[in-house]
Amino acid sequence: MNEQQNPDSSGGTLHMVTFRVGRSLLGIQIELVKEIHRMLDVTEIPGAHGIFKGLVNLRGKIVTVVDMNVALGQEETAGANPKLLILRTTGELLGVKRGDEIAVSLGYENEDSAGLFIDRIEETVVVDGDAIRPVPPNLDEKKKMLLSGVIKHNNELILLLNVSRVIHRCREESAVP
Amino acid sequence: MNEDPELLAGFLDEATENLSVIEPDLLALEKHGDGTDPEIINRIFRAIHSIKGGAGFFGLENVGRISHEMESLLALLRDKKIAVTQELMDLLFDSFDVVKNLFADLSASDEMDIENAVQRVIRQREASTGEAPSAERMKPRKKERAPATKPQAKTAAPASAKPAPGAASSQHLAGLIDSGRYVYHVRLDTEWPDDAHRWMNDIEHLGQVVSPVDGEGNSVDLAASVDSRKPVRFYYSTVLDPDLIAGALQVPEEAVEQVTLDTLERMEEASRASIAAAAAAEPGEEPEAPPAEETAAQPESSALADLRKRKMADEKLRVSVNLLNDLMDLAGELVLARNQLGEVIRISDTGSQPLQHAMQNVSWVTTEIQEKIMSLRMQPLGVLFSKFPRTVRDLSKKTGKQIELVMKGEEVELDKTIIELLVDPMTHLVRNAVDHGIESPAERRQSGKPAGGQIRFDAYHEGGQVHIDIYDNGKGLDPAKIAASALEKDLLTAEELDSMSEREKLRIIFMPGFSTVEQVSSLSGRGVGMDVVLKNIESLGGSVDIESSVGEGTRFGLVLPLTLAIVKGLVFQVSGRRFIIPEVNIDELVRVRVEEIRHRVNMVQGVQVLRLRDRLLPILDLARLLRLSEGDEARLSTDASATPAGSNGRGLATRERAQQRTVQFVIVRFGASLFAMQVDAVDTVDEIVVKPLPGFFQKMRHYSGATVLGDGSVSLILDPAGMAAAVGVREFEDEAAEAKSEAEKEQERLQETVSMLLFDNGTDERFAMPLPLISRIERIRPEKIEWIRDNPYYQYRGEKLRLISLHDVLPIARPEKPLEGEIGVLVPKTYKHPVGIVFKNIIDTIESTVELDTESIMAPGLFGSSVLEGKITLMPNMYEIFDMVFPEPVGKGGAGRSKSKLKSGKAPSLLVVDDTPFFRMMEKKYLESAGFRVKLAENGHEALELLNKERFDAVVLDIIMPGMNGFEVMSEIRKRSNLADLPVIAVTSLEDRASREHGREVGFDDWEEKLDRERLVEKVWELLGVRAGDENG
Repeated sequence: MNEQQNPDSSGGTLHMVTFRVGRSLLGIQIELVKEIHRMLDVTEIPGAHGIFKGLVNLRGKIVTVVDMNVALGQEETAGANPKLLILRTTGELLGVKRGDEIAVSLGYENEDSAGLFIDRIEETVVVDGDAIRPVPPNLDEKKKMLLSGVIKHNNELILLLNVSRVIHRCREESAVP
Repeated sequence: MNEDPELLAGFLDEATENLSVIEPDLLALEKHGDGTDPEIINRIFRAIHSIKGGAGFFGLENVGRISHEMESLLALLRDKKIAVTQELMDLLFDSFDVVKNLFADLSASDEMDIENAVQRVIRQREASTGEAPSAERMKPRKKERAPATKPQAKTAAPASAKPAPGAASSQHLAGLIDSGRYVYHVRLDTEWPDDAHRWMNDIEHLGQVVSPVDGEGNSVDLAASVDSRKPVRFYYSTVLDPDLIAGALQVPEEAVEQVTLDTLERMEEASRASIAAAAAAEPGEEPEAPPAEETAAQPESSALADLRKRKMADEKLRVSVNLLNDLMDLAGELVLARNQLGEVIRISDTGSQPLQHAMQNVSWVTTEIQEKIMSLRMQPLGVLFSKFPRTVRDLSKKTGKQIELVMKGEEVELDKTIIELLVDPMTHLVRNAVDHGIESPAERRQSGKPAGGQIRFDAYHEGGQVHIDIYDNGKGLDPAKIAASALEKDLLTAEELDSMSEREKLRIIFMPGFSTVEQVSSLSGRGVGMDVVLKNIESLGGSVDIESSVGEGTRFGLVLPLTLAIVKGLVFQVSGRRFIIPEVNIDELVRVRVEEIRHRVNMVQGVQVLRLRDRLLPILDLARLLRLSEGDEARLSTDASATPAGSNGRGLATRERAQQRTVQFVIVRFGASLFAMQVDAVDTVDEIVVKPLPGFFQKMRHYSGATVLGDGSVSLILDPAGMAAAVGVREFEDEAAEAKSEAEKEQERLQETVSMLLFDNGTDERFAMPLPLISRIERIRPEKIEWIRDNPYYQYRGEKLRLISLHDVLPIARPEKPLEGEIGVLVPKTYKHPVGIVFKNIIDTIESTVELDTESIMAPGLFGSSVLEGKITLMPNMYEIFDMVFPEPVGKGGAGRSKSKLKSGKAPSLLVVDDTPFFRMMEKKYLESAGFRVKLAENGHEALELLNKERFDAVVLDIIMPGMNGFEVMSEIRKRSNLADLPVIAVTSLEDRASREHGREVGFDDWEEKLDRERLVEKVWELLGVRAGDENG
């Protein structure tokens, strides 16, 4: 959808939640995160694409769990204490301060409750919008498609996850019956 | 325009309701013309009148204009000043459509060009009455239109006998009250607000000023009066309640008085009285009654009374749909929570009585709440049906056909959402009926039908679901033509079509791609297609039935669940996972004993079917459909029982499962079709909250939703229609006898059947022997029998056959007369001595499965008995009989030809594995008679156990067995290092190459046909010889 290289065009500061999936360190804007939950029992959906780990029950609500390893084309890892990063839906995002701006700038279209299956949650960092660099070309195609940029932080490279594209990819995969 | 969205929404709601209620009235008017019940005309008038009023309030110019003109026209109609003509009706229909269009997008309504429409109405009115255009062309403003100062001015509202508070008809005020607003009468004669202009602005934002008049009852401009501090009275309509009104209006409390319907009625009576008085008195005289209490005399007083009656009777409440949805969700959560609580209590197992009672209470109340809230969303189908009379009318006109629409069951209720989603499919079906169903009047007459056709809706409850039948008495659907069309379009092959029943052929119209451009006329529009209709209905959890008769008509039957949200579901397990099917789709649960599987499960046309009473139900393998691969897949062989899938890691050993004695099926119904689904276990029937599947999975047809079970886990809800479609399960016509015998034949061919020779011994008793054991059958003349040492012998081909009569060795009846005429002799295959069994007549040779009964009738020399061809038949055991006749010391082995014994000098020991008692016996017997020692095992597990405990020289292994089949046993054997070289022969009825290949692959040394004793014995010796050879070095 959007060819956003800079999540926040205003170049201001962003608060990013960072987390690990396999060996990758990823980051997404904090406004998109509804909550971080311990991993729940997943009910697989037989016949669904591998990008979906399955469904979980979050306080009565049914949430789709996205297998980030599959999404990124990485090998499955066995984290000791994986977590569920619950994303805000578009509706929920709009209820947040500046949510509408963010939704628009990201082209965020997420109707269903979805969560990312991650290995570990790392720290929340404050980054300068100007410091965001384009995605290095030597990265795997699949992975590149889902990133909107990278940023250096404490000698590590944070891969900025383009959640909209993740959702989009999920939709694509599920379009094939 | 007054932009208050909530008020506007309320108005929109109401207006839409009004408009929808109008249609049947218009149709009635068209039908009955001038003879129409005046009440109907009044209703139409009132509807447009209230729309006009609202338009004024909200400043909707176009809506106001057209409704005003229509109101005038309708007034003439009501007053019988014009007649009902087709022209007039068409105009009315069209004009109402214009109004509907305006309402479809209210905010843009003023931009639409409705000039033509308006002019049409005006012209019609003029033409009808020959009058000059009224001077009353009104431009709606925020205030109610200024009344004519002269009471005689021609207006739609009847003339006022005296200057009342303006032309505020009590009807208008009543209408405002009825729509939920408050109406107040405000009197400013001692205090006035400052800054008249600002004040006017303020109050006009909060409500509507109606009919400001001065002390004398003359209409005045409110702002001017306030400004000049002159006494003024007016009505004010607003949503503000009495507590707030004085403050909002910035007037003293005494100045405001609420006007209720009661008040209005009284005023009306008073004014009627005063009119009478005024009539008696001179015109122009002011009556004494306080003006505030008066209103113009209205012929609509009946309307007022009407409104009051309606208001009392209805006692309804407008509720925001969002609130309703929230309530629904909460009710759903409550059900889940209740289930959870129940689970916890079950697990904690305290057995506390008070706790149980409390739980029951909670449960009951929850169910009640859920049901009541659900019923809030229920709407009568009439809401859905109501748009169709108009549709049918319009379509009939367009196509030049005469079609009548009859509707039944409008009071049947359905969930609001379902009703909304039914609109499209029903519209398509109706349009279809008009387009392709009903023929033109000429065509109909030609076929001897009445010129006019009929479309009928019939809605009713049945079996916990709502049925909506859509009939037409048109030309019907022709399965042959449909099939031909499908062939042409390459949708199906000729073979497929051949095997389809008429019913199935009709359903071809639901295949995507069937409706082509030619089929989809401009009327049916948008190329919607029947496949979308089916999909829509099925997505609601419903199904569509078709029934048709060429030349007579068609019925489409929609079957729908009562509600979407909370249903009773059956929770069951397959491959270690839990799934749910809505209870409404479950016909029954069937358990089949493992031993009976081969009789109940057949293969018909390449599909496994379950025989259930008279029907053949296709079996759906859920594990395969969903590609579940947990542990042992449930595999249902056609001739043996299957083990339900192992429940890995859940505590039950696989072996335990293998010995489960029954197989469970859930019989699933969707629409009129049934299929059987094998399940591992059935848990419970629970009330489940159906949560829609996340959007990502909407395309997965097998699932219709998900829910949270009592233990907190998510479970998927299966969609029977989707599953069936995915698997291509088709219905099997109950063309009974044929199909059945077909199936029976198939079954028998595939199962382990034996060719049996049925014969008798000169008495009524029947006997049977396996043909493969018989070398030849001879007929001999009794004279040829030689008697040697009291034993009968027969000379045959250089051999002396010792003849044995069954009645000599078995406890059976002796034939009355000594054998006369020719007698028969059965000569067995290679027995150490030449011997033959005497019999009298051959009854038949049959191919049959043998259910050996070793209990009822048993004796040495008999295998047992069986029921063949419906009669009890004894099964003599040839070899046992021979052994009885020729007793031999045990241990001397060897078949007819002598073979070297094993180095050890002992007779070789064989393990014979076969699940069928009959074959087990047979093989044991003749192998023993060939000199082997034989141990038996009933199934793979037993066999492996025995192999662990004892040493065998070779194994004779059946292939088709329950639990582990022969291939699996073979693999297992080969896995064990000590058994890697063990000779194993497969003895089976499977002759096909693929099986042989497979056998070779898994490690069989040989593959033999059942009951060919000679070969088997030969092969065993061969294999042992090889081994013996090895042993020898």
